[in-house]
Amino acid sequence: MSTASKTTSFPTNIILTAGLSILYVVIAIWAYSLVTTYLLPQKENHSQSVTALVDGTVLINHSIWHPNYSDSYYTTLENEKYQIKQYEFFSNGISLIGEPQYFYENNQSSTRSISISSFLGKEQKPHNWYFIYNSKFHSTGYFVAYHRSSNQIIHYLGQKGFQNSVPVREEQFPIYGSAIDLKSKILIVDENYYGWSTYATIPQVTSNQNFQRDDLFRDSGLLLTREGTVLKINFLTGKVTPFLERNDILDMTLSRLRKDQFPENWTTSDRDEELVVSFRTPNAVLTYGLQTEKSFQVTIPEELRTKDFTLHYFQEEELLYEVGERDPKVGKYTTDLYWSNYSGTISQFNDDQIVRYYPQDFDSIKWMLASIQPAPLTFLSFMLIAPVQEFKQAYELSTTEAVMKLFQMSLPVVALLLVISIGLLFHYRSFAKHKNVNSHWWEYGFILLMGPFAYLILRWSLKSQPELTPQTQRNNSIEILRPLLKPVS
Amino acid sequence: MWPITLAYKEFRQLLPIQIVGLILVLLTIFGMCGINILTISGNSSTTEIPFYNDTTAQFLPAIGAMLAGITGYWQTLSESMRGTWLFLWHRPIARSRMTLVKLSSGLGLIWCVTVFPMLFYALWAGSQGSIAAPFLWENTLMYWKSCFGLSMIYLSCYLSGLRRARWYGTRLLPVLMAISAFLLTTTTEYYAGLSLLLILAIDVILIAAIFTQCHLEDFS
Repeated sequence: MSTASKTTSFPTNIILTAGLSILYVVIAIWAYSLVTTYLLPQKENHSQSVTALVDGTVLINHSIWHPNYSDSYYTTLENEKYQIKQYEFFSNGISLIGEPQYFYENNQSSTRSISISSFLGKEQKPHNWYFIYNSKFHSTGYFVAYHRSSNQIIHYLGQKGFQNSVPVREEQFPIYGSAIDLKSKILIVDENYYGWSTYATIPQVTSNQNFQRDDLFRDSGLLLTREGTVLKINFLTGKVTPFLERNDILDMTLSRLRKDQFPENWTTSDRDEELVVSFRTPNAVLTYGLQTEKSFQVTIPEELRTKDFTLHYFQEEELLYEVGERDPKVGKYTTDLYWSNYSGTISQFNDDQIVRYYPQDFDSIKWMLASIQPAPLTFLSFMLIAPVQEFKQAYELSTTEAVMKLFQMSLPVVALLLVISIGLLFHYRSFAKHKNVNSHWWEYGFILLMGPFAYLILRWSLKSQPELTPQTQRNNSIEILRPLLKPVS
Repeated sequence: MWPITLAYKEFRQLLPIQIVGLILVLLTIFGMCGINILTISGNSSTTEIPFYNDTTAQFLPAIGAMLAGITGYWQTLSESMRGTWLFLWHRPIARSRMTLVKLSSGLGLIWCVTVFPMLFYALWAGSQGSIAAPFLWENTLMYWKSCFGLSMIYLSCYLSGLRRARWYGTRLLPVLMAISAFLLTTTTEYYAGLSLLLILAIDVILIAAIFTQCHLEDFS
């Protein structure tokens, strides 16, 4: 009778099972992408977005993408094709958020606990300036300047101006540290400066940088604090002063507006464009011209006061608010349009101008997860970690509530996977018995938790000894005697 | 004195790999200091904020991972190819003790190559007047965590090299598991305690697997 032995130990089996479950995920995802790319018919991807011209014409920009072709065109709101003429200019929409607390709380994406932003100073011989802050939601930050040739720290800058050491927390600037975009916290130079990269770099002097400005940015910058105040920071003198005499600013953004987009008689300059900063308060948008040093204000319609929107300024003091609405429960995403005047009276609105559906069917997700991870332990781990964020947002739950609800949802799948595991356990038990190998209780527990992966690894670890036949017995005897059979020299 | 003899033998055999690894690490560090030895233009400006860049977050850990993997395989496959496993196992010393010396030598060398040069770089970057950019010890945490995570890659490759399974079968599974765990634990600075605990747990299982596998494999 042939007997079997185990070729791998239990710790090795744990490692191999984990490796096999990962390999299965990789193969399953790869096979899925192969099937959807080459076997299933390719769907045309049609995306739409609202765009507007400064004369008040509102258009829909259509982008069509397919592996074999792509197209882009504009239509009017009545769905008629529109050809952009040479003298027509697009309006730069000004995007402003309505609830910064909610927005930044759900916007934590930095991988580092301390973040650094960098910019070139405004001195005649510019220093390297850095803004250092904690990446957490309620954060504080401070500035530090380095000399470019001696590499020495020149000074730190906190709420009380220049300092020789790192400002204490109370004297640092309170900000939302989860906003990884520098532009949403500090405005230092024009809009083209703000890059988008994972890590800030040491600022480099390039030939096309022009520091001889004649506006506020010649020596200063603007910082929006978490408390809703906008501070003007003079980087040459270290003076920190409130820029606006109010503390209810929700958001600020930098943009360029064309002459036609300003209110009548607001500017007398012959410039075609003006660099402006727009500040959003709970009920108004204040726009400040950096070169004209004048501002104008529009009232936000009551319906839109808590919503994030993109604002377009048109001729004859007409405004368009583009509002994105979402219903995560059914996965419906819409774009609504509101036309208004400066006093906040809505003259026209188009609900559901663009409608997209991205349904998040968590019932399908759990079965899909079970198909790529058919082991009770790994399925439950995936299910209680991966979709938590989406689930929280869809059903407006706390993390604990979301985890508990996902756990409840997972129970039927876990039960099914446990039944499969028990079946495999009994099969392994009889297989081991047949091979004349003692199986242990921890192996059963392991199969119960890791299902088919543990079953396969444990089964493969049983190595059969070769059958002992008269032929093999004779060969073995020869092998043992071989050294003795060598001729003696 | 057998442990010293064995450690010295491992050191001698691993020296060429470690020298190549050290050269790669040093070239990268010199580049971060503004000394680009390999560029013909002689550009000496540095643009990276110390320990706040892709080089220390991704490139150097990737070099470390390759070094750890090659070291793990070299220590096992070279013994198999030369047929010296049987010679080693037939010494009057427990296999686990001998394995412990081999693992300590390999891991020690990997950490020497990846930790010490960066420690010197950190001390340089932290001293006044070295670089016109901030240096914060908190920002170095992610790199040290990656160095600790290299132990998983090294031990998994050692286990893979030790086993006599088929290459297209289960032999590479420990490496796949370790690479996934390495990526999971070292690509973010958050959950530092949890990541270190996970690395430690995987290391313990890998060491237990190596120790037990020494007795189960057929080295003839």
